[in-house]
Amino acid sequence: MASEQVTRILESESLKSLTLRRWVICSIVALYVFVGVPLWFKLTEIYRAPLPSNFINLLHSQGNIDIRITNEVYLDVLDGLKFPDLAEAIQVQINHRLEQERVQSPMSVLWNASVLQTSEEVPSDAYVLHLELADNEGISLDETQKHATLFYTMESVKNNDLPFFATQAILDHIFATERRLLTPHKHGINSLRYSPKVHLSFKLLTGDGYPLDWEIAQAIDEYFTPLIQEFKTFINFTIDSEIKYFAQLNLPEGDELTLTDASLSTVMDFAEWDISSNQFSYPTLNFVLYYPSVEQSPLAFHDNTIGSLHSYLIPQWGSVVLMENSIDANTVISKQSLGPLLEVFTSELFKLLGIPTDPKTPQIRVDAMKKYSILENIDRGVDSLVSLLKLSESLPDMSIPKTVLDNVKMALSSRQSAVDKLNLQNDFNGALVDSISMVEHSERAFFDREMVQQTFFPQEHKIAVYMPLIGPMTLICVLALLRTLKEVRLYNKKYYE
Amino acid sequence: MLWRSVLNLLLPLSAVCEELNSAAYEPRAIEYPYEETLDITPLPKNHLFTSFQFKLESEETEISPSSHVASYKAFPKSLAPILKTTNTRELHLRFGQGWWDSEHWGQLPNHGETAGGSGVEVWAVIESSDSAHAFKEWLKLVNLLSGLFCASLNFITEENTVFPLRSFLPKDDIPLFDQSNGLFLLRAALPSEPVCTENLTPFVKFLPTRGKEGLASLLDGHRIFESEWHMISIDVETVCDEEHSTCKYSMQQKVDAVVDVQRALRRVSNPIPKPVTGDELVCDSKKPIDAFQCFAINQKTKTKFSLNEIFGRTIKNGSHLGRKQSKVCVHALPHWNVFLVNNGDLFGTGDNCFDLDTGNYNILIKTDNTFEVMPVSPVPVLVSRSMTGYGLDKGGLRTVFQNNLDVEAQIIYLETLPWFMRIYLQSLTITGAEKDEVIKSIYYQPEIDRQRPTHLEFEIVLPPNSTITMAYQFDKSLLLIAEYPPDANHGFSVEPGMVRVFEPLDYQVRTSPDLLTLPTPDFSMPYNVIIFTATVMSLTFGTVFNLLFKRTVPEKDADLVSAELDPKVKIKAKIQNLKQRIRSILHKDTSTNEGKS
Repeated sequence: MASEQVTRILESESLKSLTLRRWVICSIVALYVFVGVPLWFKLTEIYRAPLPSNFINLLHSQGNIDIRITNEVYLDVLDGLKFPDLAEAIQVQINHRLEQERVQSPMSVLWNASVLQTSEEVPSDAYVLHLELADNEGISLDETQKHATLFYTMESVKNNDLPFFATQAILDHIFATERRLLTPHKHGINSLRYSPKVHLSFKLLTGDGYPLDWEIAQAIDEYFTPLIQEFKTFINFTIDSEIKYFAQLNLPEGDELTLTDASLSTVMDFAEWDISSNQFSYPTLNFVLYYPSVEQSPLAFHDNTIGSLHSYLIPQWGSVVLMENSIDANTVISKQSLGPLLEVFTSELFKLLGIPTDPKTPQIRVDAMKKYSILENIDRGVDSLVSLLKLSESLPDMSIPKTVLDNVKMALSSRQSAVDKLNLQNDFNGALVDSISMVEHSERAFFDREMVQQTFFPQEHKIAVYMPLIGPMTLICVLALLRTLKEVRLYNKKYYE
Repeated sequence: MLWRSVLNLLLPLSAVCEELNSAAYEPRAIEYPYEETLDITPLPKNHLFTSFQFKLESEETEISPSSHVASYKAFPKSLAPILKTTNTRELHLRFGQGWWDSEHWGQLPNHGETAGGSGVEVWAVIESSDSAHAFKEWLKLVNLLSGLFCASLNFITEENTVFPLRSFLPKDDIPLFDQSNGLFLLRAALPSEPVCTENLTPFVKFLPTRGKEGLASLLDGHRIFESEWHMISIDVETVCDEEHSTCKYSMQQKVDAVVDVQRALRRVSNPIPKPVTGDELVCDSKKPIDAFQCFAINQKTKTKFSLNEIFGRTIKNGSHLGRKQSKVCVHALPHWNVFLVNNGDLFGTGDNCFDLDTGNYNILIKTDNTFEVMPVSPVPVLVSRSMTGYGLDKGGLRTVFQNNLDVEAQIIYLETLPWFMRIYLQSLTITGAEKDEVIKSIYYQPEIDRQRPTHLEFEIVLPPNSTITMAYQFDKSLLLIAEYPPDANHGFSVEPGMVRVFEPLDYQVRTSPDLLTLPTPDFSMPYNVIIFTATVMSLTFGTVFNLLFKRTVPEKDADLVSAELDPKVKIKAKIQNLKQRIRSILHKDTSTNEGKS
């Protein structure tokens, strides 16, 4: 009954006006859905710079597949002899051996040594293998230049063993350290990352407050200077010394605690001792000589071998030598008695620096460390970029400013430039500079200030703020659409009847 | 075989140990360039002025170091490299809070030299080639110090740094390490910085005794910062010996505090505050007293207290490290009895000064008349500053100088005003004397928005026994919304003005900081704008939509149509239906229950 009347009312309207009405609602809804909503979405969007995620993930998963390190070794035959095809023979041997080893223990990059016949001009800092006729086979490395001498006998030439010996000399002597460093291995937890500058801080700590002194400056001058000279080519040391009083151990009161390696971390409170480093730009290694207070002495040690020094290595921090008994007031520890202590510290310093000790040619070691540092820096940079990607994926509401993208691009181009310098020009110094700039840029990208500040701006807030617009409009449109649909249905029913 | 090798390894080590443990020591008296003293002065109205003073020096180093080992013994290792890397020749730091009552307490300690303004104040002399570079070093310095002292010194930027001309001139000649360089004096203050225990902790760690022994063992942050007025100061100077071309840092650390003794004692006796009982009440004798009336004064005639009660600790040993023994002095009139307490025994001396050795020490002070104390030194010049005006767009500053001397006082008045205070120097007026007679010269460096504060240095001559008022007007500028701090409605602190009297005597005094209220926006404004606009837009849309879409019909038709077509009506009906059903179910339930019962 009612519907009949409604139909009548509808019929009273002209068809043209009815269609117009339908067009109006359709176009408004279409505007709302196809123009309004996307526009609103676009205008209120958080800017997220498009990071080259595919490329970074590829770098991460593939490792340094695009890096190729080639070392040129010049062959210099002494004694006026000539082996015209020796270089090629050695090269074949080397390639064969590297091929074999690649299967067993792959290196982190493509590594090769190319053997060249000595021409007129050999670059001054090139690797040179001298072949010298002698009574016995042997190899000796020069101490100042990157030169090695292989001694051979006529016997070995006759047996065609010379290429084999030369291969051995090159792979197992000259480049042994480099090859070991470039093979993926577990980085010792003790050692620092390589840094061209390291600060050494010698500290005399005592639990009491009675004045002490030590002749550390003189002792360092005497015992440490040769060491510093030796390292000079790749690590510059800065040194200071300090005396601190009232550095108590956290020993439980009353009962005796036997010091073991495990209990050490609870017994020594570095924060309380207030001996943190204040070298701001490069790492610090601490060497502590500790005397307990009168009340706490003698210390009971677990491995109480009478008379030995209780030295403890603290990974990446330094080394502590604990003395059993307290020290008398007004004592000056003389230079002579500090000597043996410094010897202990020296051996720990080697462990803490994690630098190779062979071969004895410093330049070869420096070369190896350089290449190792380049690769390590590149890995570190890629790791930072991957972390950045993970962060941006895990927080979809976080804005990624353009500066981040710029830094990522800079990091990637620095990497590319480092790789080019390695592959094409053998320019290790340039590559090292580029790799450092890569680390810097990637870290700057990760620690961008704006990115962290904007982290907590959830999407729900945006919708809540715009609710007064979205709510009424949606309601009006939806209700009108429903009404029109109903009208159409009614009209059609009537029409078909 | 293995045995042998192990033994061989052990042998040299054991030899080492014996050497280290006994043989090679040569005992001799070692003294460090370290001194500590504590001065205690009773003030009127049961107040007590305590001043801890620590002096230390670094090891001498050559200007062009031949030895690469820097050694630290008494001087803190955490501070020296900071000074060295930033080429700082002098550093002065002040952390202070509270109000110094000049009327009762007299001159500021040390002629005001070690006093600073409220909050944090820092000034330094930096050796550098030009001022831009000096400023860079300055920024590095304050950032490093900020980490060291747990203070917001990193908020020091070009916005609040000035290069004072005459106010902070160093007393002694400062050595130049490189003769082509110049020396630059920079100064900044953070008046709203809260000074707290975390600033005292690093201060104490600087001392070789590290607060475990000596006078520093008395320093308890909670008690020091509860005092009426406290000031922590650090002054580092570079002292050079031209002859040997060696230099060293000389540092003086001070903690000054004025403690309200009654309050400190009350805290010990009843930690939860309780009203004083009638018989303990001390009434003001100048005002009417009877059984019902008593104007209480916070002062007792008789008093007896010990340092332990004031600071909550005792002195644990004197320091053994210094070249002098730790010294405690009480400056009081003879009717004040002062004793040193050690293991229950009391000791007294004629001059009330005590050298400390080993043991737990306490100082006991008692008197029958607290009204008479050592006469305080008269204050030569007093200064106070206040804001004038109303409204949020402009205001004024009014500074009152009072000369208590019988002679003319020549002073320098330094003001550093934030850039959002735009002052009008032509509005400067002087009351109390002729302007030209009072103000001899003005150094004025106008502000630059967000780059530089206003820097004003007045050279003023105050006539004998006079009060001069200086006033000028300023406009307040608007800040960008991101520049307002979280508590913007609290206002912005304007750092204290500083008066330095240099004729006829040397004295420094600062005004208290002022609070400037700026026009503060409603921070929810962007959201309100969006919401209002959105509402208006949807209203407009609704109207336009109705015009376009809805048809005009007679009212009775409209009811019919809407009943048939409008989804709203349908939904309403459905809800009605549902309600009905629920009601009927409920009704049924109750009726069955009733039936059962």
